[in-house]
Amino acid sequence: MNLSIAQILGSINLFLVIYTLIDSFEKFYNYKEYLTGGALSWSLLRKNSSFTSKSESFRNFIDIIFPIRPWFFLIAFRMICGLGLLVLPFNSPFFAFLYASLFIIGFLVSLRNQAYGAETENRFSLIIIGTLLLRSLSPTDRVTLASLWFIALLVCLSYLIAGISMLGNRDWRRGNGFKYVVASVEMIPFKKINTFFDEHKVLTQLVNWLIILFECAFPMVLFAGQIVFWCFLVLGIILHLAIAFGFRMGKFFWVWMATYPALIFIAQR
Amino acid sequence: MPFRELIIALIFILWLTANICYLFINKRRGDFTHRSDLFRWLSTVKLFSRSETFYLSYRDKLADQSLMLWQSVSLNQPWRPYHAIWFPARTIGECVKSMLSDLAHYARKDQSGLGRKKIKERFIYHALFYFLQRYPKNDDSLGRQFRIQDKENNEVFISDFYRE
Repeated sequence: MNLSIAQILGSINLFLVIYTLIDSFEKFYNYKEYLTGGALSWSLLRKNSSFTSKSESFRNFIDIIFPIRPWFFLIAFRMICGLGLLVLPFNSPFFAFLYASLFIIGFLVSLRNQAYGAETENRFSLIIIGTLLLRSLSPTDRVTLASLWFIALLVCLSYLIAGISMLGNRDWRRGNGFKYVVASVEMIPFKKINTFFDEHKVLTQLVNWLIILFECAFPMVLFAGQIVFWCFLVLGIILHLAIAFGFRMGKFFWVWMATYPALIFIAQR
Repeated sequence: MPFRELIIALIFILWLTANICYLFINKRRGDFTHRSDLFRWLSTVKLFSRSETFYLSYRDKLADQSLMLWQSVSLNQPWRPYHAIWFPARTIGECVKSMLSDLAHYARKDQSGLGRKKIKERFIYHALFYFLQRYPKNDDSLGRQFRIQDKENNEVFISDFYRE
């Protein structure tokens, strides 16, 4: 069964929109943190030296858009743009506007919270949204192909880098990295799971090396044939489901799943 | 190839090359600087390759100069199956963990060098105090102090007393 370009892009959009809606609803749910006294209040974040060192015109601009009211207006607009991607017909001329809006607001989310580190899933979603924005500016076959290759290459690179980073970490290299993570009550506050992995050392070492092998070898999906491709894809889905349920990082799942249709498209060819 | 396609192809090539160059040449610095740089987005993806955990605790100094016991700050929420889809409480926990990790990183570096920004001048140092204000304190408190420990309970950093 071969998927059409419309189905591939539609699937990417669907996963991106699910991520965008969950992330936006979570921001609304946490609105108290955006009020004065909250950890995400603009009265606090604006004191960050990466803002105070900027020009006065830039500071005036962010002082207009980052306080709670305009900020939540932008987040609500982001949700509407996300829904627009699902409602409007494929290749609608409005797509460029919707992607551009999602890209700008996503970038502002990253900028506003930069003192607290990267929201990794938001930043990875920006790569996908940015790519689809470029594609929507010139939706020809060649640009579509280049866009899907770009997404596929970057997701392979993301796994490869994570694998290399694990190899650079002494705990993971010794086969204990996975154990330290899953046996840690800070990472998974579920005593039965912590104890289970703490007691099964051979299993945790096996999973440790399986994860490293999976991540380092993931770029093979681009050229190793259908069987290898589907094995990696299924393993990837299992890994991300485990991360979502175990580590409660569900938003990662949707963003990384948004890249898999691009991989399927490359594998089909 | 039409001009617009050529420009888009060039942007893709530049974006990919810049990501690859940054990842392999300068990835260490990218964890702490220029977090909104267009070409450094991928470098934040580590998928648990860093497993170091830090713990935050605080104590108050009272009017009679006595010190209260250290109170540990729990950033954990009980595990629930629906957290796989909906877990807004993770946001603040992750913010605090990021601040602890960054402060621990700075504390382990030499802070005495001229021109290097002192920990106490950093935004996250003050943001941590701001965060700790949500925890109750006595009316006669003279100030609050926080401490960062690693998983072996070694003290990584201890702040001055701070009063609003």
